[in-house]
Amino acid sequence: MPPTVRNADVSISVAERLAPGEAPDQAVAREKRRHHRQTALRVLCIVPPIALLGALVVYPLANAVYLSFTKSSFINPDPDWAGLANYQAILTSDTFLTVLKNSLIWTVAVVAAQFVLGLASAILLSQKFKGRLVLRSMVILPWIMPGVIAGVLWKLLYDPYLGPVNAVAGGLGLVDGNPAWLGQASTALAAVIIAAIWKGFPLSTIMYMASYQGVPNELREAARSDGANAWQVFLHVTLPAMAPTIRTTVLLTTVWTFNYFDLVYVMTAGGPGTSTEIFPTYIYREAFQNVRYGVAGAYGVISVVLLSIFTVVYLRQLNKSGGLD
Amino acid sequence: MASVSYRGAERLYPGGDRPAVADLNLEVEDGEFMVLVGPSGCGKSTSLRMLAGLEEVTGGRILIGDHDVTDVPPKERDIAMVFQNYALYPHMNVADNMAFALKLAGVGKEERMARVREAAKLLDLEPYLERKPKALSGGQRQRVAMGRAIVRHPQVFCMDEPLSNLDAKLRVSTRTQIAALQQRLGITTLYVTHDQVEAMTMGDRVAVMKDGVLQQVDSPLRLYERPTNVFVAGFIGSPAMNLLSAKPGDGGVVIDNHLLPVDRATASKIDGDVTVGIRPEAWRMVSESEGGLPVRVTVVEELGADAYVYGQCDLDGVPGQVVIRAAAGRVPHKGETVHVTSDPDRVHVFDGGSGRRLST
Ligand SMILES: Nc1ncnc2c1ncn2[C@@H]1O[C@H](COP(=O)(O)OP(=O)(O)OP(=O)(O)O)[C@@H](O)[C@H]1O
Ligand SMILES: [Mg+2]
Repeated sequence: MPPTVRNADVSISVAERLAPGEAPDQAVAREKRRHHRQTALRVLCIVPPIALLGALVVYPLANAVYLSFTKSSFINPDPDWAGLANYQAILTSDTFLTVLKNSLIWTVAVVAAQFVLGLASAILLSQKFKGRLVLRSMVILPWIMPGVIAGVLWKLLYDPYLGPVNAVAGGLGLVDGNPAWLGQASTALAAVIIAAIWKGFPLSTIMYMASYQGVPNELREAARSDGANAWQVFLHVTLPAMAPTIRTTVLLTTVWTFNYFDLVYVMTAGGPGTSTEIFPTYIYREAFQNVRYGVAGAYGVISVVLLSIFTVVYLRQLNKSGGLD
Repeated sequence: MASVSYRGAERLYPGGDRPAVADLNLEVEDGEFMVLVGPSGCGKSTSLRMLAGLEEVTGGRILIGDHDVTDVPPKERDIAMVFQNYALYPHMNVADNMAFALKLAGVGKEERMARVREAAKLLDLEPYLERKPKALSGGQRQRVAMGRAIVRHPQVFCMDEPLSNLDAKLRVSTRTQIAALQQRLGITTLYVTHDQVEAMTMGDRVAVMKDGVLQQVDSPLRLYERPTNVFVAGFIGSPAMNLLSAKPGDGGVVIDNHLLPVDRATASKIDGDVTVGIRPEAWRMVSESEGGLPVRVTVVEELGADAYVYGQCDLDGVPGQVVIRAAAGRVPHKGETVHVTSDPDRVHVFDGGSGRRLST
């Protein structure tokens, strides 16, 4: 057997690479030197991106985690070490339960509705009809509109006296008087959820539209000649073919919705009371109104942990059912 | 009973100025293997898809057996389609792909599995039943597509160029397999291809189309021996038939001053210029004194048993291409000039204007 360099990635037969007048063992040494040089180069290439990642991701994260173990107040804004006190207080408080419950309802309702609405509008807009192009460019408007503007717009829509929502609902005899949808705890969360669905669904529409049109027509035709009706074609062929896009989109919209701040903040600022308080708005309130950075930090850490657990479980589940492809 | 009849069937695409398939009249008998062949864009796929119900019929009727299916949705036609790109459901494994139609039809699980296994055995697919289509080779996918069709025991098979994604060798062997399988199952089959060799070797009968119009329907041999017009004559056969323009002459036709005798019945029908068709094997090499058409040899393709000799001749000042099949031992060399003629019963004469066959 010819001498080979015993190294994971350089197991090239040295006998074939002998320089003129070179002994095999010299060649082995040469190969080893070359290998070391390569390793050094690799390390050199990897360092900058890792440093950048560290500065951009790890430092803020670590800082938030540190803050969550400290105490500060309006009078004494410098953080003092407080150990687990913040977490203990939060996990036993009613507010935390409210925020958690609101966040869950908010996220599940918005994501589910955006999925259904996005899919339905995507299929509708993929059909051939007059004015389809106009409708397609219009449907994206809510998505490109800044969240703050959308918040103001929906506040106007919901205005008890001037808003068209009450005008229409009153006209149809659905409501008595002038209910303040955003002003009462029983309806405020539902009202902001509707606004958020409207604001975000075009992204799902666009993703699903691209995916729907990417399903080869031949597949649908095959299913039709296999005896499927329109609904069966959709259920057994179109939907499974769109599954990878659906999985990705649902994951993305979940993360975005869970972290969505500006719309709720503009419309209700978490009120009335804590009825529309979700993690981002409540973190803002603790940090910048109550100046309790420690509590805000702890809420932040908890929300990241929750989202990470969700993502891991979701991706796990995905891998079981065929992964993202 | 599952014959197929096209009765004046037409497909005009919206915005098209002429139909993609025009006034198609075609009868496929029960159990017959009918091949639709023609150059790209001639309307073969459209004709097939009209039968499968995937394409609207804008005129005429289509019948399966005695049943008018013109306005019947595909799922009620009991037709199994094999697509060029196979169209296997990517998220289902091979077994589920094959069982899908049966499942939709409400066939019980036991029976479904039995039929899938039977088809898998027939097609050598047993080891792959659990695999997803993307983990199969092209040839295996092709067989799954076939399997998906045969488990259904349909009235009619529709196949649209099912072999065109296979490599040349596999194509030849699969060709034979499909033909044998069809014969064994006895299911009426309409098979589309643009490859005339495939058409000739597989079909009980072959329908030749051009520009949406059916040109001729005949057995492969009849197509070869009695093409109904210049197009079919040139399309069927490889290398293609020599088609040379000629003038009427005394007892024959004249190609560049060389008289080629034709039989009397044919000669009587000639008025005006004609196109003469001579298959490569119908040429006879003669000595110069016998007065054949002189051909200067440019390329010689040796095939062992015989050879194809490509040459140039002069047609009243216009250079023409000629292909001659020469038996081994009598193969001329490149650069040589040979003289060729043919016999009356091997000369096809077509009208110079309409291209219609004049020979009897
Ligand atoms: N959806 C369509 N809209 C308009 N014209 C079409 C459509 N589909 C096909 N055609 C036209 O109809 C004619 C016949 O098409 P068809 O697909 O039947 O050809 P083909 O014989 O199958 O060709 P190939 O061998 O290339 O598959 C072509 O000229 C094509 O341009
Ligand atoms: Mg085609």
